[in-house]
Amino acid sequence: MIEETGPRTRSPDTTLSSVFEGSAEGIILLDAEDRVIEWSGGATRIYGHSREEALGRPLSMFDSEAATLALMGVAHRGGDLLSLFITPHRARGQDGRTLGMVKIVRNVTDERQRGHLELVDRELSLKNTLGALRRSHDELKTTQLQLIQSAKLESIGRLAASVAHEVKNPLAILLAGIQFLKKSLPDADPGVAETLDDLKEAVHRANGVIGGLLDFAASTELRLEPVNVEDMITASIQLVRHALQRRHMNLEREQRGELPTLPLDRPKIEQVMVNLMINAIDAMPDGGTLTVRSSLAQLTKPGDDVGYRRTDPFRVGETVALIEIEDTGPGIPPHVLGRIFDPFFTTKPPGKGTGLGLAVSKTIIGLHRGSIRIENRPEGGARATLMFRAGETIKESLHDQAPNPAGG
Amino acid sequence: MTKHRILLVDDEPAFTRVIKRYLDSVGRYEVRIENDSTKAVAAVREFRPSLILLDVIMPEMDGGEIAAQLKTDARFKHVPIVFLTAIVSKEQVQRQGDVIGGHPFLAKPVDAEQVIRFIDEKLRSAA
Repeated sequence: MIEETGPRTRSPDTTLSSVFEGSAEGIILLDAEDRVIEWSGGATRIYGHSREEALGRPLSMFDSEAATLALMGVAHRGGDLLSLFITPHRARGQDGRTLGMVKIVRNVTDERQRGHLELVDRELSLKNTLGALRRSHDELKTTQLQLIQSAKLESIGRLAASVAHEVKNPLAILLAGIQFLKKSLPDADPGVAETLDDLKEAVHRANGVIGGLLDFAASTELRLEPVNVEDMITASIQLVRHALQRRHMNLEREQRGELPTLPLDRPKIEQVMVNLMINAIDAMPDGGTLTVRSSLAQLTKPGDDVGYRRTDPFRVGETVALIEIEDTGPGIPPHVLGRIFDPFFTTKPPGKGTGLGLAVSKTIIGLHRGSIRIENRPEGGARATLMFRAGETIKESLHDQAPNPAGG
Repeated sequence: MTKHRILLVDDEPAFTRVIKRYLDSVGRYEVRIENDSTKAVAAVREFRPSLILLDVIMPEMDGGEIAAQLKTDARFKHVPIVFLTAIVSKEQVQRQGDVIGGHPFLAKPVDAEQVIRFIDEKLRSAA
C-alpha cells in the first residue's frame, strides 16, 4: 500500500513497494538533517512506532544508537530490550551533496540470544572438560609422585646394598681387629681397654646406620599373614617395656572395640610400632604418659588420604582399624612436622637416630596400603595414627603387589 | 690333638689376616686364607678343610657359585660352609631363616667369638 506523505515523498512501484513494506528489515530514509522521510513496515514492527509517528522526526527519538553512525542499535519495546543491526547507506545527489541516509535495520535480538545460549552451553561443556582435565591432572600428579617415590626407593635400595658392602667390610676388619687386640692384651692398661671398647662401640654405631639403610631398602617387600592386631600391639609394647620402666613412664592401653584380624607383615608393623613408641618416649625425657589406643571407625568425611576417588588411599564410608600412639611431651615444631618422614632427617643427637625410622615406617605402612599421620594434639603432645582397611583379606592385599624376590 | 683345618675365602686381605690371627690365637684351628675367589675350589681340593668360611660378594666368582661347585663334588659336598656377608641387615638374616642355600651365615661386621661358636657347632654336628 502506498501512502502519500508529502511533497518530498516518492511513490515506489508496487514491486518495490511490497519489498519495502514486506521486508523483515526496517528501511528508513533520512534527510540531511537526520529526520525520517520514509519508514517501512519493518521499521514499524521493529521500533513499535507507526510511519505517521516517525515521519519528520529525528531518528534519535526512536533509537539513540542508530542516530549516530553506529552499526548496532538499541530499542525498547514493551519492556524488552532489542538488539538491532544497522547498515547505513549515504544517499548523495548528482553533485555529490549528501541528500540523506538510508538505514536498513535488522532485529538480531533472537540471534544474539541464541548465540548467548550457545555460548553458555559451550562454557558449561568447557567447564566440564576443565574439571575432567583437573581430575586427570590430579591423578597423574598422584601417580607421578608414587613413581618418583618408587624410583627413589629403588635407587636407595641399590645405594644401600653398595654402601653396605663398601662400609661393612672395613667395619668387619675394624671389629675383628679390635677383638683381636683385646684378646691379645688381657692385662692392658685400663685406658687401652677403654679405648678398645670405645672403638668397638663406634663400629656398632656405624653398623647401625648401615643396618637402618638396609632395612629401609628391604622395607619394599612384604610378607603378609593374618595378624591379630591386639596381640601385635601387646607384643610391640613388650619390646619397649624396658625403655618405659627406665624413664618411669605411665602406659595407658585403650581398646575401643575388637579389631579384626588383618593381613600384615607382622615383624615390619611391629618395627613401625616400636619406632613410633620410642619416638614418643624420647619426646618425654622428664616422664609422662604413653597412650596406645586401638579402635575401629567408619570414615565419614574426606580428609588426608580419604576421598571419593579411585586413587584415594581410603574412601568415605570405609571401615578402618586405627592405632594411635600419643605422648604428653612438648609436641613437634612446625618446621619439623613438614620433614618428619624425610629419609635421614633427625632431631636426635648424633648416634641416637639414623633419621630413617619414620621414613621406613611410612614406606612399610604405604606398602600395606594404609596411612600414617603424625600431628600435634590440641591438648599438647604429639599423636601418631596408623590406619588400615578393616575388611581386607590377604588375597585383596596381595592383588596390587608385584612379586619382589629377596636379593642376596 | 689335631687341629681343624679352616679355609677362609674373602677378597678383603686385611679382614682375612685379622680373622686368621684371631682364630690362630685360639689354638684349635689351622687357618688358610684364599683372597682370590677363582682359586677357592682349587684351594678346597688341595687343603681339604674341615670347614669353609665363605664371603658372599666377591669379584669374578661369588660365594654362592663356589658353594654350588663344591656341592657337585662328592668329596667336598659335605664340608660345612659358613657364609660371611656384608649386604644383609639383621632383619634379612632372620627372614632367610639364617640360611643361604642351606648354609648358615653371619652378617659382617662379624663378632669373632660368634664365628668361633659357629665353627665349633658346625664341626660338632658334622663329626
